[in-house]
Amino acid sequence: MSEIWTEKYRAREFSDVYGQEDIVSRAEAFVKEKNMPHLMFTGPAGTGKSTLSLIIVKKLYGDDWRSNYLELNASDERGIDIVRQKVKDFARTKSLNSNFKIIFLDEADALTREAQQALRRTMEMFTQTCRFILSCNYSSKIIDPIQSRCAVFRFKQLDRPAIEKIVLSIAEKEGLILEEGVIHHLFAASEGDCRRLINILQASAVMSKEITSDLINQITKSSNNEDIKSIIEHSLNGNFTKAKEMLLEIMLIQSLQGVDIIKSVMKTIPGLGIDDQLKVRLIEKCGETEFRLVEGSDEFIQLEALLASFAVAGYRDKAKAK
Amino acid sequence: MVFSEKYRPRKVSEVTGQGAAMQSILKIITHNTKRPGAILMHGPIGCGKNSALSAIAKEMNFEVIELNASDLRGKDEMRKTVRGAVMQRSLFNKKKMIVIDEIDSVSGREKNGLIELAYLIDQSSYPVFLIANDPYSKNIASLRKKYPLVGFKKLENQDIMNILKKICVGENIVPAETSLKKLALLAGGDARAAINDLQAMGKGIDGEISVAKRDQEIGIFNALKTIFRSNSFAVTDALNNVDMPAYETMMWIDENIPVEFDVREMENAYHYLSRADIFYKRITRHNNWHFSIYSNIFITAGICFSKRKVHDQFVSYRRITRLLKMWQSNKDLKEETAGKFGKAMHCSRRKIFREMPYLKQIYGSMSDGHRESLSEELNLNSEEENFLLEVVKK
Repeated sequence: MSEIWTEKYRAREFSDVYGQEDIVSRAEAFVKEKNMPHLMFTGPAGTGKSTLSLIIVKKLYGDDWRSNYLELNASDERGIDIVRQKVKDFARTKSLNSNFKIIFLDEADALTREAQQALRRTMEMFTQTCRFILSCNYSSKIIDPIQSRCAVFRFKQLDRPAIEKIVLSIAEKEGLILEEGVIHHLFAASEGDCRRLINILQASAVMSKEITSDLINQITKSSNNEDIKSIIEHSLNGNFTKAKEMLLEIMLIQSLQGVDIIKSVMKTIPGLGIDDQLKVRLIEKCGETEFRLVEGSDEFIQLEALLASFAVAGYRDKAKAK
Repeated sequence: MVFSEKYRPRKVSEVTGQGAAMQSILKIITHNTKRPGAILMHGPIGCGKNSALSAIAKEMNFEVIELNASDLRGKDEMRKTVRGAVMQRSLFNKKKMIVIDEIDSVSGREKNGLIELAYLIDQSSYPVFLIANDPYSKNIASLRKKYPLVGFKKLENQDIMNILKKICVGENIVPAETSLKKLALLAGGDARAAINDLQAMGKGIDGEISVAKRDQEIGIFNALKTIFRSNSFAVTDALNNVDMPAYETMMWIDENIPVEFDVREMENAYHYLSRADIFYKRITRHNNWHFSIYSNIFITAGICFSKRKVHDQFVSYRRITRLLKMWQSNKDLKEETAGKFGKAMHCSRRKIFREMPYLKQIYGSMSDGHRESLSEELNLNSEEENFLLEVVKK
């Protein structure tokens, strides 16, 4: 039994997948017939895409599921060539228990269009021995030729009743005491993402078995909003070194993601007491910085460059006022 | 005698950090068939591929026939050399194993050679171990299809430190723990390199390491002076003699931009530093080293010409701060730790990064018993455990 609750309480039966009823019954039918086309799972994070895929393979192959299932991550593998090589190595042999093996490719939308073309050829090559389940957040980022080869399953963001069911069932098994109204807080904090929900719940439960709204707030509040505000103020006032030090600190202590920091930074810009033209400039810089981070640049260096722009904005604003 | 030979493991139990790979090798060794076939071993330099085989041979009393693939050109040579090894019985009837190193250096055009090799392996009554640096090389695609791949992991710093410690005991060297740690860090997973460094420094290890560090510091301080103060395009050579990884160099420049420049110059300087970082990432992303030229020009000339005029007041440049050092050393740790969580939680490192604040909270606050079993479940090493527990004091 895993120590990580997202694993310990991962649904093991079709009936335990909450909030995706139509999809689940279609998947169940595949298992009954022991046949399925290539599938594409699209939908927001934490709605059950990997879980449903795991249930399908476990139902299809029983205890032998590991040798019939390859889990790949487009965002972790270095390039499409590695993905194809792994697929080839896995697909070369036929399954002993079934007509096909299953390859789950997570975050397929992280692949470029060219890489997707290559993937399409690979899918065709091994269609005799393998079925693909592609998982992505947005189906629009997947090229049409792939979409047309897959049965598309659209996962919905988990709604309040689904979240409630999950929380109640974990609370019962872990002996948690839920304060009235706390489920609403959990729902809001999780934003319908089940992985996030269960992590928040476990992070709270290691502090206290009594789950209260205060506790949830304490765990999830971006204590950093205050910090980020003062980082920006320091930069605007020309105290760059201090700002830089604080930035590094919150990234280290709270393991905060660079992208999240930019989002908070951007939210504060409209409320700053500086010239409006400068605000637009700074927001433009935020956009550029966020893009660079998504492309894989160094969080610290890029955020510092952003702070330097704030410092200059502060300087120009003061010059103008004079 | 070189330490790396003198202290090569003599028993299977002495091989460090390669549990899974060792199991696969032992399986084929102890297999009782007439035609045991071959396995294709791969892994980074200095991670213990040869050591694993020689330890097995010593402990289980095998005679080792070593061949180097770069000497085996074409079908005839392959037949002549390998056939002899495969067919002849061992003197004194000892068990035999055949090791062919650098198998991926046999060029793909010499297909006949490889076909012959596969044929000979099928005939062989001794296990054959093929060692490749790059198992995915096109040259050996045919072998890859035929024989199981056994991957050796890059050694962790802790593994390398353990190896070094054993040698120090044998050689009566009593180094500071921090010196060993630095040696291990420098080696970047290559045990042979670390052992050679240790031998070269010998008993003076503590002194040597700080000297090496001092030289490096003098180098970077001089380079900083050139970058910030010169006013000619020759500044692009400033980093040529600095013996430091690129990211660390960027951190040194980063630390000193606010020391040298005023606000407006600073924005330019950070613009170029951030561009340099982008090109630096493109090197690995597109596997194109030419991008490093741009990266270098941006962090030298780009920074240099960010100033509005040459400054002449005295400035003392700063070493990188403790926090910055931590950030640097945490970067890799964060990746590795996230990778281990990702495997257990069926998701990518990127998704784990987003959950990291919660995962740290969970790990840090759970009871000791639970924490231990979680560490075991994820197979965390002590560095990764510390990373998860780390809280910087304000």
